Amino acid sequence: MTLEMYLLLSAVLFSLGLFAALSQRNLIAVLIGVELMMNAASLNFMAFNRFSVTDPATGQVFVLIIIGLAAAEVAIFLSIILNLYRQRHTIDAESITELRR
Amino acid sequence: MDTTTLILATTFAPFAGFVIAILFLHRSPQLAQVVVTTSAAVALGGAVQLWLNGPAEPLRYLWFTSGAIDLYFGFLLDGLNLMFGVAVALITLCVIVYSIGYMADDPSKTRYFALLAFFEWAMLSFVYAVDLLQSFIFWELVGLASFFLIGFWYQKPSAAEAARKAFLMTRIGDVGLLIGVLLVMMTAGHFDIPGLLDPDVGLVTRLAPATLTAITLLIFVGIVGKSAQFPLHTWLPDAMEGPTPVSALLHSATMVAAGVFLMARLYPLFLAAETTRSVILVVATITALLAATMAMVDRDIKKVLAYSSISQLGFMLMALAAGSLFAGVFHLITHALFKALLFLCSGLFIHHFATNDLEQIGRSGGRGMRLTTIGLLIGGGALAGVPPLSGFFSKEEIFAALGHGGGSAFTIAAFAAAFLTAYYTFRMIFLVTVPDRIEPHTADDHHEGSAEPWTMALPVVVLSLGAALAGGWGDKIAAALGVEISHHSIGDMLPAIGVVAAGVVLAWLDFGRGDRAGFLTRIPALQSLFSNGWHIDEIYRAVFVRITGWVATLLHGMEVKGLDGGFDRFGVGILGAGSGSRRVQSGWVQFYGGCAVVVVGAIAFYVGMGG
Amino acid sequence: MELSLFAPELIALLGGLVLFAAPILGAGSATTWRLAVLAGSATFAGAVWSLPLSGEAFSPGIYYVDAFSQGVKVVVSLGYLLVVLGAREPVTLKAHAWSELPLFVLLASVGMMMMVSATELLTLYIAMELAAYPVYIAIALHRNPAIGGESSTKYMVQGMMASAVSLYGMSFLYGLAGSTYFEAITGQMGALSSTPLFWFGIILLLAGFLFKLAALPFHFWAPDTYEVSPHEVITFVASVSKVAAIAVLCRIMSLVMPAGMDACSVQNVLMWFAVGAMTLGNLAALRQSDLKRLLGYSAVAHAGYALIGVQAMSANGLTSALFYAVGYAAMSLICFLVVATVGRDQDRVSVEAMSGLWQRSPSMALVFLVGLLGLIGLPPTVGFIGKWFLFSAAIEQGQFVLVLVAAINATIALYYYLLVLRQIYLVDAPTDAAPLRWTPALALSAGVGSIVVVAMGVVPSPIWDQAAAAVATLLH
Repeated sequence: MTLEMYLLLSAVLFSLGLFAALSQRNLIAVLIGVELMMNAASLNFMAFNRFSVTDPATGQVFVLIIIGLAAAEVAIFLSIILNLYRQRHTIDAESITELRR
Repeated sequence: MDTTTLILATTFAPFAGFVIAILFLHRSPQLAQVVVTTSAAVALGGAVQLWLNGPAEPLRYLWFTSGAIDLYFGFLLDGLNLMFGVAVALITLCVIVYSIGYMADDPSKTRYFALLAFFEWAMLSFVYAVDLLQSFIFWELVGLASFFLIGFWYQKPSAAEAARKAFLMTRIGDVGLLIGVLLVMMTAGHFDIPGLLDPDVGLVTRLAPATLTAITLLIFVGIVGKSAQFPLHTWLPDAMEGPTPVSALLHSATMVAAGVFLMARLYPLFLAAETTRSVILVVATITALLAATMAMVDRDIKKVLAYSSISQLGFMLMALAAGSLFAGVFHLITHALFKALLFLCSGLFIHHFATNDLEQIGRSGGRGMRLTTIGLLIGGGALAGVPPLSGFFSKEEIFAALGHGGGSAFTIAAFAAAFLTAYYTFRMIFLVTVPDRIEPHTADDHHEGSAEPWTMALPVVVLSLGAALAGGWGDKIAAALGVEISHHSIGDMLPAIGVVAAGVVLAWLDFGRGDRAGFLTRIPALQSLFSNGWHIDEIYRAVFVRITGWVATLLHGMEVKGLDGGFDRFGVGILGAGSGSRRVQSGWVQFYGGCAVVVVGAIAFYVGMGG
Repeated sequence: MELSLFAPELIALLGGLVLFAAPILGAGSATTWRLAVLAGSATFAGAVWSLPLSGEAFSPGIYYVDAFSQGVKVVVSLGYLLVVLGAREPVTLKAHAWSELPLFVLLASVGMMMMVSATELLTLYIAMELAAYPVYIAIALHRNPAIGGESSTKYMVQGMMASAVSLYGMSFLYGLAGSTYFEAITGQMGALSSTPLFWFGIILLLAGFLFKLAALPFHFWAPDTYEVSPHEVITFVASVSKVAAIAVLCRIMSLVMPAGMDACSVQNVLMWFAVGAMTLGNLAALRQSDLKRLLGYSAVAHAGYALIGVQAMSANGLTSALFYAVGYAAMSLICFLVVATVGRDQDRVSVEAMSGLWQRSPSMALVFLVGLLGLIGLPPTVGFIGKWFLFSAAIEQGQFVLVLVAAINATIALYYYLLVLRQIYLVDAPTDAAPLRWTPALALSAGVGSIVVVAMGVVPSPIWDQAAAAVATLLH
């Protein structure tokens, strides 16, 4: 596979993630969509690291750290959703519109 | 005392008065009065001494350096500044003394006097400014003072509304002024007024005529806002909601004249910009005529005077545009004196009879107030241009300027405006002083206390003297401006005298014998057009306000309905298209984020494709 | 590795540890607050002390310590200190969770401090997330759990998307430059600037910071989040984080400025964002009846003003943006301090709630007046002179139309600020309104903020010179 293929794949992944994040009403699914977007970026890093960058480590290190930060992000988001669920008994994105008049 | 001490005392005494009054004297309004009056007296003393000392070198203090541009704070002490400084300080002191009587029963006197002191500081700093940016800063500050003073009686919703309108409309003009000042920065690289005006290295020699025209036109936009010229004049009549002494000081004699003063200050630039002057001449002529017609029919004494201020400011700008610095400045000074006098007289009537209505004042026995009536006659005579009062001489100079500077159409327009001025001024005088033929003297004088306490009478006397005698100061003013003037023969003056006489006679025929209906009542169409201010305000409301309202409502609707309406459906539409028949639900949270990402993505794609 | 170069961040991190441990060890909220103020003061002192330092704290090219980064750190740490000083007791936070607030805000401050020093993509990304996560949590600490959960979710979904977009952009920069170091990117600018994909990456990278700035098109969160977030948290978000965001934008601009004409596309994009943000923010604010929401839209508009300086892509432009951001942070801070005090019993603060503030507390009304005059852009506040700098930077680039749009916008904005001003000064307070009292700490915080707003307007040179020096080091 060439670099272009990987970039294309990651672009597709990014778009899918974006679409999921936009279209899903379940907040967990939204979260998964955002994770997909980040994974698309990770894939880019790895692909560039493999094909075009002389330094063999940087991209991989970057990706490891992205994974770590994403885990932290998930933890925070889930705890907030959990909090929301306790109050509303739903994690439907459409239901959190109470604040607007 | 040396110049530095004097100028600092002149400008900062009112500032000190303001700070002391606003911070410490909330519970002792009497003391606040004393402090502010003293500070205004100090300012006047300083201004007069500076004037007596004559022109001096400008003082400049480096404020800060931004990039390659040094900004200065300082004082320019040439004839024009010194003269107008004295006029401002004198009228401010008169108004402050007058206010002691006028505002005697007001519970928030401290705030009132502090604001007057603040205004005086800002105005004097504007007048003496050596740096164009400094001028602009204080130009904004006098606007702020005006906002607070118009809205002083905030309990009246109309006052609060008028304050906002005045501030907003003048700020529209300031947009032009700001860009003009920025252009000056870009082209000249400094803001030093003497440097900008210098015949050898100033803007006139350095700039292409088109650039100079652009700069002067933009500055003129600011002048239109501040000096209430057409089409931004509609804030000034509404500004009469403020206390009458404030109207006398800010909205006739000094603040609204700041626009004219700025043009006089930067006169060499305007003189070199032929196109700009033609534009100004047209705008000023329209204003002078338009405002005069409105003054012919209004029954509110302050509104009549306000329209008259607009009209007279138009006169000054006509003179400046026609090429005569002297005529414009001369009228600026005389107008400041007689218009302040007229407002103070109207304030005495309003204070005593508790009404703004001309006919009501007349019925209640307006002429019973002797001193006020004399003041009204002198001020009105000067406004109408009755010889030998001051207004006659300054207007005569304007006619002369137009005669040899402007086209004949403008001369005719000026005579027409002068005729209308004489008519509406004497209409006002007759309505107040001549008893009603049908309904003479209904209300008897049941008001408590003196009608004319000395605090209010003294300023009227001082300003009456000024308004009567200022016509003889032409030589002094010309000398201060460094221009040569020629004296006019009686023959030259005849047309002006004739026009004024015609106006007075017509007013006499209409109102001089106790009638309350002028010839305009027989032409209802004109009467209604004039009394509605040519419907200009309504047009604005219909056009600008409504458009802004629509946009705001649209945005508001978008964001409010976002939860269950438009926005979501919009989002569903976009996303639904991509997903076949399945109905895609879209929460608004995602929609927002999605919008953002899509926009950035699209732009990045566009840029990335080298677009 | 030179630890002293990392001093402010290190002190703040240690402070964070202490604040983390204190509630566990049984410290009450009063003690925690004192510790927080202590940590803030120490961080501020550390930042001031480190102001003249320069060098690299870690391995070369990762983390610059220079006049630029240290100057912004001083502002961020001062901002933190003032926010904490003003938050003496729980206002709209859960009482039992209050002692966690200083910790989260401090950690976010550390993230912001690291953001401005980061000169490498990975460091920048970590710092960005460190500045974001604590705020997500802090917003969720609202005393009304439903409101807290909802507003935090809203904010976080959009924040996550923005940072994912930034990350995607970073991946392209890395791929094209073959390195994550800014130095390396600048070094290859000649080759990179002709690659369209590079500009694609740069614009995506900006997304995360435009989000923090609440600039178009990432502004949607601002009104919502401002309206219902805990007062204390939004005071921080509305002031300190703007400075950090503008600082990073300046850093990114300095990265691409050597490209000269090729950077035009980015300049154009930012210009349109600026125009859009100003116009949209001001028009949408016209009809708001909720004060915090109104200030949210006003923040969008001010992000637009600040972007004028960023997009000018000149030393003067970046300096004016930085200067304006600092001034705006101060104005926004004092406005929100007053709003938090007035609206302490409400989750939302309507414009009507400000009625007769002048009678309830003249000094508080004065502070708010200073803040509003700044936001309007009137002399003698920093709002006037800051806008002046921004406009003159744009005029130097010949962007008359942009300045015209901005000036017209400033006039439109006057309308709704005057509505608020009228409410404060010209409407009587409800008779049952309780008098408002200053706590000494709040008075100190608001006093310092007001003095900054006025002093930067009257004597702009010290801060301006500092900002100019900072930008000069940024541009070498």
